[in-house]
Amino acid sequence: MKKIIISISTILCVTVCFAQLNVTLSVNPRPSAALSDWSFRKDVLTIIVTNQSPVGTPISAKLKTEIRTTDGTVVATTDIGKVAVSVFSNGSTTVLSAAEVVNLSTLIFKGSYQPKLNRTGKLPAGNYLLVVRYYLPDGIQPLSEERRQPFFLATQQLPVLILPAENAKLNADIAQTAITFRWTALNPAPQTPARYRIQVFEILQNQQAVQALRSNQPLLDKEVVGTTQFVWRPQLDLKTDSLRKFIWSIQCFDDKGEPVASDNGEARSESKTFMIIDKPAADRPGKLINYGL
Amino acid sequence: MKKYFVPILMLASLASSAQTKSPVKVSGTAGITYEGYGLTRRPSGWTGYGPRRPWNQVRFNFAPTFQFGKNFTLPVNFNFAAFPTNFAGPYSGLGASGKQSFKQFITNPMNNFSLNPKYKWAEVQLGTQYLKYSDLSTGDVGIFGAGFSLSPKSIRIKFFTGVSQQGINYAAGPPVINGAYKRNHWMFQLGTEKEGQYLFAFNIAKGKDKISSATPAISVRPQEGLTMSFVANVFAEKGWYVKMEGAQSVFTKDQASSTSSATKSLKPFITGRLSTITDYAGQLAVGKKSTNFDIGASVKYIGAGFQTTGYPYLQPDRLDYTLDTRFNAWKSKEGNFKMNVIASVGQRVNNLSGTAARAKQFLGSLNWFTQFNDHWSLNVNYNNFGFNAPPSAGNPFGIKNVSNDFGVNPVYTWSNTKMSHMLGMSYNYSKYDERNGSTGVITTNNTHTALFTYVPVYFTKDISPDFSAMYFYNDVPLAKLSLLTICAGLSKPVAKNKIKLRGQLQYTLGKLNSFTPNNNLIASCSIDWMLTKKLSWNTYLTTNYFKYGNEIIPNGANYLESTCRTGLQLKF
Repeated sequence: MKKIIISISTILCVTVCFAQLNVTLSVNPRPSAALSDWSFRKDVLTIIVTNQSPVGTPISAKLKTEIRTTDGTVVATTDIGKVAVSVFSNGSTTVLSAAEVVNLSTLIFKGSYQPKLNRTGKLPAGNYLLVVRYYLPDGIQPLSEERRQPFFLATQQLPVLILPAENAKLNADIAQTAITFRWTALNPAPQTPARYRIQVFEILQNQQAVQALRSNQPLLDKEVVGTTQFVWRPQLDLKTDSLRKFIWSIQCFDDKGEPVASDNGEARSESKTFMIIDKPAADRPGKLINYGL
Repeated sequence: MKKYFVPILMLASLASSAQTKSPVKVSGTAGITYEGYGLTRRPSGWTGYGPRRPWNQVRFNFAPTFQFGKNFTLPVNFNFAAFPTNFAGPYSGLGASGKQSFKQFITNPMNNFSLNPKYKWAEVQLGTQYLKYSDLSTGDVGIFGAGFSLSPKSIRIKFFTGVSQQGINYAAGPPVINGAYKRNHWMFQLGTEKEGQYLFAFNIAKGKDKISSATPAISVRPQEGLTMSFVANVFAEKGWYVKMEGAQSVFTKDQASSTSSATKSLKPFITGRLSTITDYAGQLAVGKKSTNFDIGASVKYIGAGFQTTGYPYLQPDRLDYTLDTRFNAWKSKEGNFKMNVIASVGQRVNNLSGTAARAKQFLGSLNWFTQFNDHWSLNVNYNNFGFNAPPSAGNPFGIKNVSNDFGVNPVYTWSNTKMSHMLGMSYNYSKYDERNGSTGVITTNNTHTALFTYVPVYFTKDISPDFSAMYFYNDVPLAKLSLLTICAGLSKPVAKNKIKLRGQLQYTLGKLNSFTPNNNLIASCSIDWMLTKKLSWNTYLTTNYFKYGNEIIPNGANYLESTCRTGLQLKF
């Protein structure tokens, strides 16, 4: 009889708690592909936990997180023994971000995912589910409903600059009226039209190319939305005696004006240099075109 | 300003006197240049066109090389500017704020302060150095510090350590300054080299951010990276060569993340953390070079997790392979080749790791120059570039960009006893198709460019005029842009060739769709005056007036932009 009473009491207690911890999960459908970035990015996910009980003892709980593929295969799961206990006081609301929810120090990645994560810091591109649920500190008895949200992971491939090609020599007579820039699109395409910032810097005498990019004021600093070509009217006298060299790059922004996630942090493409020559075409031994792969 | 200029003039003076009074030989340059910029926009309050140069800038350069006897040289390179103008990279924002500390000034990428004393095969490297150890280890970033390069016989030993950027705190602005952590670098090379025959070298390069150095924006993370590479270059007889490099990087994207036994550590150099990634890169090039024939094939692989502080903008996760050739053909009676051909074909494959969106790029280019006779020459070029990403989430139609450019450029020259004439013609057709991955809509972009140039050269007069006319037409849906430019230039030496004058006038009539035309007039002149055999005074003035049609609001908006650059240069 005593065992039955204890069991019924436990079930009642769990049921009460289960009802008392309300969890709301929202996930950015296309978060940064680098999982270590999640610890400081506020735009990845949010969990709102509410202890609905107006009175009684605070609830102690542990959060279990799983990353699954859309067919249900578990990619990563929380080692519940390593998770710290959270205490939710009565009537309180707690907001958690990715740093607390997807904690890489408590997640165990299955199979080939761990080596891939060690090599690239990322999971294979594709659709995933984030699944969260609170448990009693024993890690067995659930305290909340399971919440799941889909998201898509893929490294944003930054643009590759097409024209002018690396070390291209442009005719000054044409270049001082118009220079056409082309680059490849941000891939995968963002949900809103991609915003590209094209910048052109002059490489001054005694400067290295990347040095000019990191130190000079750009002669062209223009935002282009949704297209991968820009015709620049330099409005410069380029037919000077000295060789004029330039370096250009593309920076990519999201719809909030923030740089898209990238390895270099600036969302800046590999740059390319080009130069202007003021020589009649007959003097040229042949224009070398090199896309600089 | 004075504090910079006076010591430089004193040093330049010392350098000059050293050359005349002592066995120490000095050669080099020293100079100061002022650049002023002005922009007037109308109507008042309109900001549709922004300034693109600093309002005032002063640049100094002092680059002598002292030669003491036969074996000891001391190259000096002080090259710096008075006001910061950084708009990209770790110092981004300092340009607009105009503030920097002394340490930031010393290590700002816009400034160089270096001393490289060298005795026989031993060189000490002090100050700002741009050291390229190899293509995959380090080479793009200037570092302020100290090190050495030893090359006794065929042995190569190099070491350098220093700072590439100082700590910069976040500032909400305006202007917004994201800031940066102070970054320290160490690099070492051990190898053997015989110039023109072989190079074998092992490189190790490390960069580490100092967490306590600053409080930048939250998105700027303190990083740490270690890269090791092995380079092997062999140059055989008859121009054959093989160049290869293999590299491994261990990179921590966030030093604030916890240490981890699951990730790679290379103690004592780097400790594995949760954000540490380890990957490989390699490149191989094989080919032959000769006077009249080159051929080469190259492959480059950069792993998805390969990252190095020496090349911060390196694009990872790719495999490139290219085939290039160049050859001369069609020998004249005098033994010169009349034809030169350069061709290249290649492909880039992204996403070898499966962590990125899949895409392939193809490229092909051909340049064919022929000098038919004393009068006619012809240059033909064709370039093709294709980018293809198959359908994926977010790109239901896939992305496809195809760029085709074809150009033909005949030149006719003729002459008589008094002058020669050069008439150049150029036509280029460019077609660019762009498929939107979200909508599937293909945008076709056509560009036509025609150019005529005429350059007379007088044998009996010292004036050198040149004339050109250009027509540019770009046609994309909803936007048709045409530009017509006429340009004339004239240069003439005066004052017994001590002063060289040059001027240019350029007028462009632009038209967008059915809007009224815009007008652009650019006038510029340069005056290069040799004050003495060693001292020159160079001045350049340009003004640019642009008046919009009714394509923007307010209608008739216009601006006048002027630049004045003047400077003294001493060669000694």
